[in-house]
Amino acid sequence: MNTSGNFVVKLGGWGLSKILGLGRMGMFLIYAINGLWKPPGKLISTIKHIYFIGHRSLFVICFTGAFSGMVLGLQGYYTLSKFGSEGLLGAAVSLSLIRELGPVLTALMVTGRAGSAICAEIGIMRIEEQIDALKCMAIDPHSYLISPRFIAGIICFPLLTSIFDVIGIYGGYAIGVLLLGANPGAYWDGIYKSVGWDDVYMGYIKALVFAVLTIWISTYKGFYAGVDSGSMGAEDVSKATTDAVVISSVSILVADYVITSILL
Amino acid sequence: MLKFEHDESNGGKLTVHLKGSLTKDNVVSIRKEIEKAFFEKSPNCVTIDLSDATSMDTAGVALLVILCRICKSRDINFRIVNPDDKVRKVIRLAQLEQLLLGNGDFNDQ
Amino acid sequence: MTSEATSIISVRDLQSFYGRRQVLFDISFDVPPHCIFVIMGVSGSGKTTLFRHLIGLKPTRKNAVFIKGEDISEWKSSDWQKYWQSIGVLFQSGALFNSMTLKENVALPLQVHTELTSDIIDVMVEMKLYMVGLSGFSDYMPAQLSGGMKKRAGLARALAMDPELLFVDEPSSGLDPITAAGLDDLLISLKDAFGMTVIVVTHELESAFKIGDYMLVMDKGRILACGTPESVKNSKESRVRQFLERRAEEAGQDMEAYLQRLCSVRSR
Repeated sequence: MNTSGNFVVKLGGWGLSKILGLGRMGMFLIYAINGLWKPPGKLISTIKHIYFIGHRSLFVICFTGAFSGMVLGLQGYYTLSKFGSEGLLGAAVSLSLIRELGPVLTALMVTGRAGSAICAEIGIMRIEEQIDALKCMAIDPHSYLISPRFIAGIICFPLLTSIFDVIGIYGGYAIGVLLLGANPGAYWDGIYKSVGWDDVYMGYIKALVFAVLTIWISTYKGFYAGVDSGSMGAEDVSKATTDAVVISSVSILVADYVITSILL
Repeated sequence: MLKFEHDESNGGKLTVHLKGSLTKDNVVSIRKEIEKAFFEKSPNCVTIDLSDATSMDTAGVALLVILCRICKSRDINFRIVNPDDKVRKVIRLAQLEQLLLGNGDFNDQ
Repeated sequence: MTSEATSIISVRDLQSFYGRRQVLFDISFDVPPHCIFVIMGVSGSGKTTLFRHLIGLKPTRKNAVFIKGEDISEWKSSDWQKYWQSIGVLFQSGALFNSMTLKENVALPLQVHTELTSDIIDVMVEMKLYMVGLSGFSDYMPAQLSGGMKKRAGLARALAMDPELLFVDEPSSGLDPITAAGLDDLLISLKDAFGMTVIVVTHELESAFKIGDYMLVMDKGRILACGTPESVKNSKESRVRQFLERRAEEAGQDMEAYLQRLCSVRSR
């Protein structure tokens, strides 16, 4: 009885802590949005974060975009040629990229590269009392640290997704047309005829949602690194960084399904 | 608050009487007024009279340093006179007695 | 010492908890304005927790901490913003922003909260860095500095807004004796020149007695002695005497609990 009682108490405590955590996370987002209108000005810091999240992710986005398009070209050509429909290769590659793979893979790549770094940076600021110092200087840490990253994320994710899509389509062209011999005119015509504004719109909606999710989770995990454990050590930062990447990645995939099911 | 006295007979001598506090809340407006007087009157000697200055923070000291620098760059004679004990302490804390006074102590009028 | 009405900070029966563990027990004292108030105690005595309550980083229950006669538990966000703009805080680690140079660190509060022009801010920053002995280091990044230099730069940043109340956590720890003495002199000069009230948390006895106008000695979350340096020096309380005379903890004090813990270790 005593053991089962303890178990219920522990379970209740765990459940409560999770609900409180979700509430805190919601408030964190509200503070970050509210911080957009608070001083100090965010132009310079936003530009710095655009450079960090956007420009410095360009190589990895181009690289993964090219190979994703190439593999789609290869697989698509192999599958479509079985039905004599190689002419649909352009449509298959572009629709897969624009609607699904572009936003998802871009978000996963940026999460791995920039999300983890953002979380670690803010986590270190937390354990070194820099966030407390900001507060004691009457500078809202949400406004100063989090809001510019949100703006930068919202600007960079759709742009990176667009770059990923374009490079992916050229990657598919390189393999499908130049290497395997599909008709180049049919490839571009397929894209022209099949890709509509709805597809592009869906891709951008996804990119924006993934941007908010990635920045929200990464900054939140860093901001509260070590706060609950009270230890404020290096281990808390590493745990927060791992959590940020895992939770962001899972959320991206779940959100992808939800958005697709709503918009289809 | 500021009061300007301009004695043209004496080779263009401008005396600025500072009244009240000279802190980060008002140094920007005070600076604008003093610089405007500099341009309008083109003095060859500027005296900042602090006899009615009640308090000063490091922003006030910074303003004095900048005025001193502007005067030196234009070959204008610059002096600070009659600081009270409180103001003197702040200038001493910033270790700027030498720069703002030249001889290590304020010139009394 | 002083009444609640005349003091700048009044603490009444303050209790503090980390989870279920109580770390402060019924702390009460007053800080008069324009003085250096030193909070002393051994490591783990609750000094830093008390410090965090006073600077508003740890929530406080009703009627426990009063700043200028106002109960801080009733403050709204705008009251906190006003309070934080009027104080300077030096954290134990310095808490400098790693991505900024020293100059940018010190200039930050001035850029955010004042309309001052950049040349006035630059002169002020140079002055503050000179005061703490870091003139010529304005373009250095925090990573290029030693621990003691970081702490001094943190003090320069805390002084940036010429605060009315300055909170300093362990100013001399990690500093060489000459620099530490320089910082002590600076704190005294700041009090004299600006009429600042300085709250210093330290366990450096020599420095505490040199700068302190009033003192508070803590142990295990309780106040052992509070008053002028003379009254603390003359305290008959055994733990205060032990702290002041730098006597090590007597062996055998927790022997019973220690032995019990040893006996409860399971053998493999």
